[in-house]
Amino acid sequence: MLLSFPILIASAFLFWLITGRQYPLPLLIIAGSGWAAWLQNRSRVSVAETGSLAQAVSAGISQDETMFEVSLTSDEIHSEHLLLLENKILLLEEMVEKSQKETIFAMKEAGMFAEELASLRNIRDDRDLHREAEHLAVHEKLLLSDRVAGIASNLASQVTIAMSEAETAVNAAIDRFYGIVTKANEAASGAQEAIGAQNEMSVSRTAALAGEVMSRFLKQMSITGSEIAASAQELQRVSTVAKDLFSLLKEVEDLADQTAMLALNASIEAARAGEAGRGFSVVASEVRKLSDRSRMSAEKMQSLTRTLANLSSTVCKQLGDASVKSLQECSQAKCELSESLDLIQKSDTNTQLALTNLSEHTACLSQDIEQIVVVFQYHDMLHQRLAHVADPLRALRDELSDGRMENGNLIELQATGTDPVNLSMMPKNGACSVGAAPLLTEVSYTDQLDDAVTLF
Amino acid sequence: MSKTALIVDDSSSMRQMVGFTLKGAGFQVIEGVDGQDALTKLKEVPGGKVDIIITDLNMPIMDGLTFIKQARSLPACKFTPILMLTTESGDNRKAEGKAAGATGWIVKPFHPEQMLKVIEKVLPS
Repeated sequence: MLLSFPILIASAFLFWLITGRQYPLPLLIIAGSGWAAWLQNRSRVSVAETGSLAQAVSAGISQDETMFEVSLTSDEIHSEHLLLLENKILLLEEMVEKSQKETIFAMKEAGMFAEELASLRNIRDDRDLHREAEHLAVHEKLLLSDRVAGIASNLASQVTIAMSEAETAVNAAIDRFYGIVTKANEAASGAQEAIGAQNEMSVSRTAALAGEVMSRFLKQMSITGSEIAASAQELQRVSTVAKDLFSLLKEVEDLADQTAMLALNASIEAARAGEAGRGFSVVASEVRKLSDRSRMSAEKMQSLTRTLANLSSTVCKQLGDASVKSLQECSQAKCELSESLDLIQKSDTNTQLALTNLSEHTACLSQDIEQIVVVFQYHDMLHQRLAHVADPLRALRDELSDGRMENGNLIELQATGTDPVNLSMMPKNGACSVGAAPLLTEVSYTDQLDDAVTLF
Repeated sequence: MSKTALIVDDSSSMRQMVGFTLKGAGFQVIEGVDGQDALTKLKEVPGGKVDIIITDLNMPIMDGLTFIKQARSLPACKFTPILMLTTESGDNRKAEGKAAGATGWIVKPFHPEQMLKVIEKVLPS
């Protein structure tokens, strides 16, 4: 039994080593395991035996010692027995020691054998594992390379899409920006023209001129008014003259009456003279006719003079009214004119102020445009940096797919050199000088000229 | 008669920006998308001569340095001011630019006023 296991194992091992076949291996393992179990069992038994032997020995020793102590005092014959006993103890101790050594050796052997078995099992496992691991590694490498290529390709396409989208967006923004700038420039140049026109002939000067013309006109109007009043007075005198004319005509009428009376008397006297006074009576009737005619003329003249007087007084009244009215209107117009001139003056001041503001805003706008032009360039720089990212990614993808085609080797990822992004170049935020939205600080070109520009 | 400028840059937004600045200063602007395209455009110009050339450094197909060298070999462009406009600011690159025949070097981002000042400086009065 003791030898059967090692022989079995050795023969199996030899068979395996020679043929390299694997089927005795389970047998070998079973035999080995059995032997190891037997050895372990045996060593456990021997340890237990040794323990009990040692116990028995120590019990015997202690008994003998007691006996020795008792007999030492009374009987020295026991000395020989004691010596024998001592020898026996030494022998026993040697035996115990040997047995312990044997046990330890057996345990060691069992351990070594177990280790050997384990390593045998490991060899088998290692071979399989190695093969499997190789297979897995290749598979993993391919998978990994596929995944990396996929990620690289995805990243590259994403970056490309982002770049083209950004390009489109920025171009649209620039187009709009141009529209705004064009309009702003038109507005600004319009304002400049207006300011120029303003300088050439200002509204206030125009207003002053208009005012002057108007006041001259008003003065003329008032003069005319006074002249009308004077004419009215003259006409008043015409009516006085008419009254004088009336009294004069009265006198003419009286003269006619008296002449008629004289003619009557003459005709009476002629009738009394009879035949001799016939000729005279003819003269008398002619004189009466004359007096009638002069009366009629006087009456006609009277009525005409009355009409004249009436007309003159009407005209005089009308003229007086007109002159008063015209003077009133003149003074009112004067008031209104001065008010209008004030308004014009005020609006002119406002216009001037607005134009000044406009020109300030135009100046600010042109500064903003400068800054926007600068800001738009950062897009271009960003674009370039993205290209630095996208190109290596594309190259990586191509490299990975090539590598897979060739031998499936994992390609080492190499960092592709890109320029370090210099963020310090970005301008800092600030505010524009004239009440506009905060944008970018003004850049002193004289300072920058040295850094940014090199002339050869 | 207005002066003519040739702007060479692969970025359309950059060409627009420079063009905008120069048109504002009264220039007529011709654009090239790379060195090769710029050479073609240059040959199409009557007399083969522009007043100033502003070019980028890194461009596909033909880069700025090659373009400058080729442009300098044209008799009409022998003395034309050529400004490089690029994000690169290394002294080595500048030396390369100078060797290729560039008149000046402006680092992006440029300021319109600054660029116009530089152009005023390099243009023969």
